[in-house]
Amino acid sequence: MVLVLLAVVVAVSASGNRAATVLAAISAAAWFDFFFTRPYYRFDVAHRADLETTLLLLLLGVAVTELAVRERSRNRAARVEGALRRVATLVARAAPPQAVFDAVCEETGRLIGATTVNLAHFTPDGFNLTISGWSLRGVHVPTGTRLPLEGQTINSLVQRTGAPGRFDSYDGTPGPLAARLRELGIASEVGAPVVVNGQVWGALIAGTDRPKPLPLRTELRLASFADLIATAISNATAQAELLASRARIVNAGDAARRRLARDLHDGAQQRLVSAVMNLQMADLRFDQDQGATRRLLREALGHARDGLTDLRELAAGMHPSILTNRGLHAAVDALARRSTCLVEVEVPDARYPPQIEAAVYFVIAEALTNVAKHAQASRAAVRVAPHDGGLAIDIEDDGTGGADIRGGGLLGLKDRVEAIGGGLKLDSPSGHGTRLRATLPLSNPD
Amino acid sequence: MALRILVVDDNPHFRRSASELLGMLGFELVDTAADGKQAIAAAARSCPDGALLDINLPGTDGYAVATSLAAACPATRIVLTSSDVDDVPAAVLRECGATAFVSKTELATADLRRLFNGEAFGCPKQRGP
Repeated sequence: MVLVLLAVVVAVSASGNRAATVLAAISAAAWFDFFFTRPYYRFDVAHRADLETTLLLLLLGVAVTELAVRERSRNRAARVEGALRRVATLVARAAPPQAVFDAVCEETGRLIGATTVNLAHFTPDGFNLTISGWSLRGVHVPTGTRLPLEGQTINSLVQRTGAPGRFDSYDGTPGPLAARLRELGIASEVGAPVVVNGQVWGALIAGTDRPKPLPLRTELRLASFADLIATAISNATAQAELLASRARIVNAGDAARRRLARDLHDGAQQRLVSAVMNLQMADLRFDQDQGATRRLLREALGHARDGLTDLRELAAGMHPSILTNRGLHAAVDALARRSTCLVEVEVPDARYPPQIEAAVYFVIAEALTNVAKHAQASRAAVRVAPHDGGLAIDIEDDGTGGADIRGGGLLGLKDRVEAIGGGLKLDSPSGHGTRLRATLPLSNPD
Repeated sequence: MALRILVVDDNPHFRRSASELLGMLGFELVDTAADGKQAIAAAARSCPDGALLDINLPGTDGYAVATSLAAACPATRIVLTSSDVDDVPAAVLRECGATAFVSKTELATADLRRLFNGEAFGCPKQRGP
């Protein structure tokens, strides 16, 4: 009988419920008192031993309960950690974003005991786009569903607040999204924002069809997974930007070569063809007509000279010889003198590695070309100065402003500067001039 | 009677030099054209005995222009020219209906008279009964 009572206390406390344990221990002590201590069959607390028994049973119960509680929370923590690790591994391996999204929805759903989990993207034009979904019962808002982000739902709440939140009932809630959720039998939802580059990109949302809402800590769990999604998205975006920039660099190179081939063909090559033809005609006429021969020779000379000029200009456009021979200071001075507006130049006399001098030169050349073409400026300033172990190049003008970094020339410059580990920043409010700053490292990034 | 030649090239310097050279060699310059469209129009107008046709034309290239010219004026002898290549295979010339290829820098020394001097002269539509 004593063993039975002990077993009952241990069994109850192993459930981890503290109140039940205390109740079981006290009642076991009472029954012990009733059956085994004098006076038998009476609930008399006549001896100190009775109290000691009660205390002992209580201690035993509480100890077992604490162990059970701890074990259970350790299990839960291990499950959370496992799920987060699986998703984080996918993110780190740069798995396709859709694979990460699908994994997050399923892992989150199983972990928190939700009926459905959806990843929604809030589009800039005010729609809720379902990116991924998982459901315990195989029914959820299908991927690709696009509904207006209106009405009272967890989606609009998270979008508005940018913070985790919950929605305990969709009964009578207006809006197409809420109607869709009622159809699916979703009673309540919890959501956490997916924040990418400081913007609420979307939300990870878990719903249940049970009358009892998801537990209070669910928001925090969701937030951890939402952060992993944000990382996956910003990784994928950065990767896509890198690929686009590489493609632009390759395309710009191809276009430059095509332009060069065309310029060579239409310019120097045709001039030389004409020179050859004139020389041949002079040869044909040599014996009969001295005047015609002389004219043809002079024309041939003219064509040859024009061809030479064409070649020189082409070579200068590819890499100006003044830059190679006399360095950045002299080359930028020459650029400034050719400019249509007054250009103040402040460039160190020092020599830098050829690829740095070329990058600085082309940034300044492109910027001054833009000033001449678009800015209607009266003056501009070019400054090259040491900055953060590298160089900072600032080009300012007092023109009309309103330049766009996505404009062809500037985007090409940005790609070029970023490819050697630098950065390009544009500040060009309409009507307030333009400031372009390029920063370049002096050590090679690879 | 001098053979009447059409010069087709997008480069004005070449059109001028070629015109002078052809005159020097005893041909009559009947017209010049800067692209395929102008060339077809000029040929339809003047039915030249020969056409000196640049291969590297803007838009439609010289081969395609030659094909159209040969179809429109089968009697016009077409000589392709270019400063980009040294030679064009005979099969390609036959395919587009051209008589010969002469590099731009060989025009003065090539026997243009023989090349332009075909048996039939003028366009078929001009042939009387």
